[in-house]
Amino acid sequence: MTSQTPASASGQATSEDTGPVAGAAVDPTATEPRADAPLLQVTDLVQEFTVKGSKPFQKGRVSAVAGVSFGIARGETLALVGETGSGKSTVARALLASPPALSGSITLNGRALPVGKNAKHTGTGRAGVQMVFQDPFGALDPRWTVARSITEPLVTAGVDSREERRRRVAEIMHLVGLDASRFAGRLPRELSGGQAQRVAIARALVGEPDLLILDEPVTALDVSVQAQILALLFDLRQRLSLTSLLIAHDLAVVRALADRIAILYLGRICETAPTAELFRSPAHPYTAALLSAIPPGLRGGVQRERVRITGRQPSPLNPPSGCRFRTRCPMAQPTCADVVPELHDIAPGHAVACHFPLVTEAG
Amino acid sequence: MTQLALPDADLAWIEGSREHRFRSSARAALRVCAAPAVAIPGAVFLLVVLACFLGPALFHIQSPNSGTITDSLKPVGAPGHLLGTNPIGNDELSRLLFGGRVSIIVGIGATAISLTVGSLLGMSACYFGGFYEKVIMRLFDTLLAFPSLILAMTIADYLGPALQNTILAISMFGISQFGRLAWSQTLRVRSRDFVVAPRADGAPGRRIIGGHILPNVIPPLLGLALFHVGTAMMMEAGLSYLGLGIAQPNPSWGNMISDGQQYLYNAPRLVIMPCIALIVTVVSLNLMADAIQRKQETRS
Amino acid sequence: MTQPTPAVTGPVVRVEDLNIKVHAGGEWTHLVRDVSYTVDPGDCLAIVGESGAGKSITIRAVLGLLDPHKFQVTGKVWLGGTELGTLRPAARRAHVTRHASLVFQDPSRSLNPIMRVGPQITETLLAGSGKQEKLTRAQARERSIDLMRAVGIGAPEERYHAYPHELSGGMKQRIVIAIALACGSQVMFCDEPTSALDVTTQAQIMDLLDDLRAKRGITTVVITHDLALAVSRAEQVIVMYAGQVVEALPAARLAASARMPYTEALIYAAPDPDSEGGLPRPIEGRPPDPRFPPPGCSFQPRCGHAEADCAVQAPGLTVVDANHSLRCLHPLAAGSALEAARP
Repeated sequence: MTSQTPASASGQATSEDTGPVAGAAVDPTATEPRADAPLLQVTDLVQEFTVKGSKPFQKGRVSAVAGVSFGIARGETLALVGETGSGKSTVARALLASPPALSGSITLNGRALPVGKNAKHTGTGRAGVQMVFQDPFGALDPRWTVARSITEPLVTAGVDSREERRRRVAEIMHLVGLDASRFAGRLPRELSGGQAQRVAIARALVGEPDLLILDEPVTALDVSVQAQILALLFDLRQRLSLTSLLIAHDLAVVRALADRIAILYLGRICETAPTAELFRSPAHPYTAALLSAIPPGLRGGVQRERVRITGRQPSPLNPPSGCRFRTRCPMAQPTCADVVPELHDIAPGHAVACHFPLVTEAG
Repeated sequence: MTQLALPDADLAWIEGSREHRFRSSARAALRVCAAPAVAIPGAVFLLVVLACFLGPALFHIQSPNSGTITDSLKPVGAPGHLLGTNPIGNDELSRLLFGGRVSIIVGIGATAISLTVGSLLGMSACYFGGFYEKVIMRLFDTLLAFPSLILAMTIADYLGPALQNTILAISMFGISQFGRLAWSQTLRVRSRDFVVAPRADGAPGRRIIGGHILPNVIPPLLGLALFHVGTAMMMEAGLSYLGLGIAQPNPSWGNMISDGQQYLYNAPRLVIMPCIALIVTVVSLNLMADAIQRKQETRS
Repeated sequence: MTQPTPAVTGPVVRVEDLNIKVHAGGEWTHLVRDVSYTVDPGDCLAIVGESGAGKSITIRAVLGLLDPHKFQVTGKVWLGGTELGTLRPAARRAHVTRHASLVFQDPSRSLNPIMRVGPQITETLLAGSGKQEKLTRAQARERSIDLMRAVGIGAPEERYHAYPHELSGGMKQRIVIAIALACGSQVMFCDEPTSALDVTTQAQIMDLLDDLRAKRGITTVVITHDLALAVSRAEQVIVMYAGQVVEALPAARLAASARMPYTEALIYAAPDPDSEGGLPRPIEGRPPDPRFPPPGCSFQPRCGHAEADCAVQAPGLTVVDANHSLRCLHPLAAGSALEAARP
């Protein structure tokens, strides 16, 4: 059974102990199902899509996510890193149930999140999961003012008092660096990219969600604005003790914000490790390749040995058997085609899914 | 969350008055109308409408069917007949104005039907999906496969010449146009992140449709509607010209053109005047619609 | 890195005192001021800066792609040894087409979506083949497949018949580069060629460009907002801000030798995969609106090292070294950019 839950050493499996906590407005800091249980536990998530095949009247099945499991502890930031087609955005969307995962289980703060073909959020109104999207302008209704967009989650959560709503909106706007008095009445087209993303972040946080998902939050922004938003996210994380899932394709961006990183390739997790350790000693060949492809940092960069990926990107309609990375791995062996590598620990908190990892279990 | 110390301006905003969305969008609409590119053709069109509906009462113009055969074909400027008379002796000006009423009623009426029926079908098709969606979309395709005028002619012929039948016949074609636009717009908006987010939050469908989907889907539909009025008026003129629309003795610009054809040589005004009326009305409408579209684009 | 004998002696691209003004809203706005640079054959020049700094428009001016009714371009440009101003418009266009090509950020924009990719390369070959050697269709096709192989496309005979939408981003970008090679260009101008691509694909495309430089003597001018990428691949780096070149220096040891505060700010604004817990440091404020340039140094309002005279006097370009020039009244001491890094 794969496990790479971070803080909890209890080797615990899925928390199937609690069903939905019905109705009650739960304050996450007051009641916790188990003190050491991760806030979010995802187990064996599977997602597939039907697409048009290459021939007419042919339907293809894309295996976008093939059994992904991970956990996020309270107050921790986990980064899900992968390239196009890795399934990272699909995982994020599955947490939002849009569309929901095909199978697997998701538990957030003791509540089970919807999984299965026609599952929907039951609308308890409690903002459990909120997301900040890649395109800030796409995430804001162009006809809604900033204040209205930020207030929406509060309305859904059933906050009735107008004064209360306004107060919370003003507070969260202040936290993200926008003055309510100046920005509340603006429309998205009157905002810059950075400002729009701040509004999106404010909207995601106003309802005090248990989990914040950030889907490539800075990719669409200009370099200097990226730095501003990253600094903001860092600051908010400290101040609000946020638990977040950061989706990114750029390891450099993730370095500053993530406590732990999980690397995805073609729907499977290759490696998870605490951030510094992943950068220092990557165990999976794909991780090594990713790291080596990044231009060395300017402030005392480490020149890494280029690990070159060979071959073509496999078609997601027909992923390779066994280890999905084997067709491009410079050190693939016959076993890699036969047996699917499972995630196993090679160091505390550092797990890798590879038959021939670059770093073997110490001791 | 612990109380934050907010700047005074923000505290003032918290206490501040409710911002009325309706008022601000009304203000924006007024600003658009105030632009000369919109206001001038708009004023022309408005003038035509007022003339047709209020003119006869205001200026005591006789009924279009009240002429006598003895007054036949009086020229322009004849006493009591500003624009002359037609072969039967009816006052041309009166016929123009009453004919205009018909054209405008048909134009707006047919568009209104196309807009509501088409939008409802298109939006619901996108929302419910499945077999229902397939049926509706194929219905649209079928209607669109016919050349618009032929379709209208067939229906009008079947129903017989009468005002409501003409409106019905012309609206058939528009239903597909509006339906497909509504469908594609709903599709586009439905997948946008600002709909995904509240849906994942558990916001009730009503609020998402009413707050996000409709306000984003309706403006392009209204834009099309404005253009469509002109199209519908032209179709009515065509139908009446062919004898399938408004029947004699009731005037319509279309049948006036048709009747006036035989007198093209000695009394061309019988054809020219309704033509001019039609051109002025449709062009001013289209110019106005065009200018509004352009304003919308530059805004976003 | 061996280089074949360059076709032209001396710099293959030379820009001198390029100034660009745009006519908008009834007045002329000065977008790009006094930009000068040279690129030697086989080298890679990187132009770095925030968006709006004028990087893209400079390249388009060099290639003659700006609408003369809207833009006023002054200054001299030499391409392949010929000064473009001496040529008449038609001859100038032909010369530019033969010698240079432009690779865009989004390869989908450069490829015809309804045409298979192979024929797009073939078409370019046939169009350019007139003067020297008439190519038959079959020969052009052969050569296209060779080019596809040269840019690293596997199974080129199959891929020849693919439509652009059937290819991945990296693959499309390779096709665009193949088309550029088919023109016979000596110089490839690349406007953010890899921003839309994954990290590993980015590395592969940059490897390809390096390879082409080594094997075919191609020269590249790369625009990017990613300073780290520029430093890792280019010989020379130009930093632009608000339409001007504020520092030009060799890429090697850029961080150690940068002296203009803006360059230092850029070094810190970039996310760094290697610094332990070092958060990128945002640069306060925003680039100035070209319609309202600030008095004195254009970076002064955002500069952490600004002094009194920076707001009054606009700095000229001072030459520090053979390949190093900068535009600053009070440059940082050499090596200080890195010093500030140590936590």
